[in-house]
Amino acid sequence: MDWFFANASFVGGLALTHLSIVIVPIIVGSILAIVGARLVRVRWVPGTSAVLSAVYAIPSLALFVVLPALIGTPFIGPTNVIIALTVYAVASMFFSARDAFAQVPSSTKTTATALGMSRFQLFVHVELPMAVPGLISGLRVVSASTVSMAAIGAVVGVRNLGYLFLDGFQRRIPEEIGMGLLAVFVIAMAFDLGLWLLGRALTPWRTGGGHRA
Amino acid sequence: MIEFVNASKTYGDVVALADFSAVVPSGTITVLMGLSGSGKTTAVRMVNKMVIPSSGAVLIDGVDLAAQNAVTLRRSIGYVMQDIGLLPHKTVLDNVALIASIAGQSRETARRNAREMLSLVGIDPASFGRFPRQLSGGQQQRVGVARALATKPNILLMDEPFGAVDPIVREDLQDELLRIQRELKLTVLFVTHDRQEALKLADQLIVLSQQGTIEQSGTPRELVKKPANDFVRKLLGV
Repeated sequence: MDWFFANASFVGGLALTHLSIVIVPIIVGSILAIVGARLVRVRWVPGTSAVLSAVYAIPSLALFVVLPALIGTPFIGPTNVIIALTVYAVASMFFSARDAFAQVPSSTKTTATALGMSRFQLFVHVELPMAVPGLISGLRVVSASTVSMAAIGAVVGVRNLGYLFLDGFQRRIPEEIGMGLLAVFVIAMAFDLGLWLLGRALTPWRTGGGHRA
Repeated sequence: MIEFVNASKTYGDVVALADFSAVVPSGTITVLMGLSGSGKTTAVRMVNKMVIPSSGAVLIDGVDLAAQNAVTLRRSIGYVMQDIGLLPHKTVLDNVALIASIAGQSRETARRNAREMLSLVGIDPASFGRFPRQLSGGQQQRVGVARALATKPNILLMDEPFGAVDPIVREDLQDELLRIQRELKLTVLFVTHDRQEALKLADQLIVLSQQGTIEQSGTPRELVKKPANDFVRKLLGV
């Protein structure tokens, strides 16, 4: 613990960088995946799934290194880490989102359509809210994996919590490594708790009794 | 008035409805009765363009539906089916008001109409703020009817709406429908395979065999007294 107190503000700074690196991939990646899962036509789903599975199988370090060559981002720095994490978030969330939408009963969609909802209204009023439980499960996986994967970004020069692992290994400071693990764990848990609470707030019909009109 | 003019529907090689012609007079209840495969659901769904005829036409008050925008058309026609399809995440009141508001009514008007229609179908105002899962099956189907009437349509399509509720509740719902239909002077096209329901509700009863072939049509009294053939006799149990 001495190590932590001596370096608290340093660790705090790394944690902030870590947060700033993961927040965009989690939000943008999830939105892209959710919209994509709804828009991809049924006959393209197998192809899309295959491509995304392949993407997800690329080792993250390899993607961090290859991305600059592919799209011309700076080799060192957060941009290509953020883009790579977003790609992983899309690949993971697409499957959850597709399943979440598939679980919306077709009778509900049929009556809503038959009573005059446009496709957009159907998405906003029926499909999206009814898919919330499945989407939240997917988001919890995405946020946890993004928070932990972001640590690898330290290797390509992003000073986030992953730096504690690199530095701790090189200089043989177990406390530093332990601190890194703990900090990543706390951030991942915080996201998970937040998403769990969001899920509860968005699905009052599953838990509460409903208000009186 | 709804007119089917040689309406047909095929899916690949499968014929769901063949050359179906019938007239549903305004302000009355017309019941399509038949077994599965009789094309009765297909026929009903042509009226709100959930099914587009492969050939032939469907007209409302003399206007061919082919040229009409499907979404706009559906907002002027009520629809109830056996799987009620209430939104689990919205309260009873919001379920009904939503349909009125997407059709362009202001929030206030939509909620006022929703309260009016829920009261009309016999839902206690104390239940307006509940979620659908907190109601019984029969109550949920009443909400389904209220929702179908939220936009104050002249036409109400009902596809085996009371098939999943128990017999006693079912009779209540049928009585309510008869009352509401008279009160609002609705044109109702009702699908069922239940002979008691058909005989009780119909002003005009159309008996279908396979693929929308009309075996006989007329008032329930006419059909019971003079069934045209064995099929009608058997289906009506006379």
